[in-house]
Amino acid sequence: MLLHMLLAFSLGIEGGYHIPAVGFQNINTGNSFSVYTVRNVGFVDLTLALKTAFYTGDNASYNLNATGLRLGVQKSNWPISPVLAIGGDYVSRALGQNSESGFALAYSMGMLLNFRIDRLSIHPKFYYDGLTDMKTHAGFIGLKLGIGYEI
Amino acid sequence: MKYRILLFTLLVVFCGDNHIVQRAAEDYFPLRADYWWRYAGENDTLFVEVEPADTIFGIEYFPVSYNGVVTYLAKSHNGIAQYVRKIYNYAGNDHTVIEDFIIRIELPLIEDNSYQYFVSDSIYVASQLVKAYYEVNGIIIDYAHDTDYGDIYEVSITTIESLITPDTSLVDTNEVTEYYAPGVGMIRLTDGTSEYRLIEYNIP
Repeated sequence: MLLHMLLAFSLGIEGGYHIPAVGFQNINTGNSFSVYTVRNVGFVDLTLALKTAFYTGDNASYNLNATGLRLGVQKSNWPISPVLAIGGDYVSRALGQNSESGFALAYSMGMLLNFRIDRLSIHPKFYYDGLTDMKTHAGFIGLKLGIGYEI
Repeated sequence: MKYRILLFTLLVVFCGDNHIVQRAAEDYFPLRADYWWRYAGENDTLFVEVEPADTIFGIEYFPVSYNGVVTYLAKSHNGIAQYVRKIYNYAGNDHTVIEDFIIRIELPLIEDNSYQYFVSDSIYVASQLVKAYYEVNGIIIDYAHDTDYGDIYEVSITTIESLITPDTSLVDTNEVTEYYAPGVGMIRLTDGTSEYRLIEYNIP
């Protein structure tokens, strides 16, 4: 309970690497970066993250960007915690000067390892990051490292 | 609770309105051996079939038969490339002036993207200079949603090919508009005088 109270609110950043796992035949790899807050709500910890990911294409002139918000749950006081998140992404893709954009439903599922040093938390995260427009599902395998600080 | 359900429903509807993931992730050019498509024109049909892959210049390509007329297509990072060979016949002997792959449709498909590729070369035949030129001008005109096929891209392709000798100059221009659907390939083809629409296909 004391730990839950300490985890009442924390801020953090995450950065990592994405590789296409489902669909996205024209994409090589990507980098993802997010800023997040964590707040304990009862049994779980709610996370709200602003996330952006940038992917380069097989065609050197092609790139894809996905930026959005994710609302998720995790357990910050478990050494190994499942991670689930859902939200929306603004997706844009460009080839040279021409581009297309749209919105997609985004979701993440995976696990993270919690390491704590006083108020500092360090968590490697392994997850699947999916995008869907209700017609097509596609996604990435992601590996991130996050650093958070309890306020 | 009702507001949360409403918010989630709005999110789902909003995110599904524009099929950006479909256009970004689906394969608009399925090329595998034994895939085939049958199109109906006003007076005839067009049967397109992919034959087993082979290699030229170290590039894997698929012979694609259009009613028996074979075109060699290769899928590269930048697009769908077509094998082009321009031959000059002199005194009963064929002399190859151009032999190369040239991008026919630039990938990935993005609305308004226009592109131009060309190959040119020249050779001396019986002390006479023979020049050949092959150019592809393409534009991804638009995409539109279709209830049966999903988001369909309209692609306009103009090819200009020429063979120039000291005596003659042959120039041929060909313009086609093709429509591509995700996971299916070409579903419609028009060339100004005729139009073909997909009636059946085999993509296991």
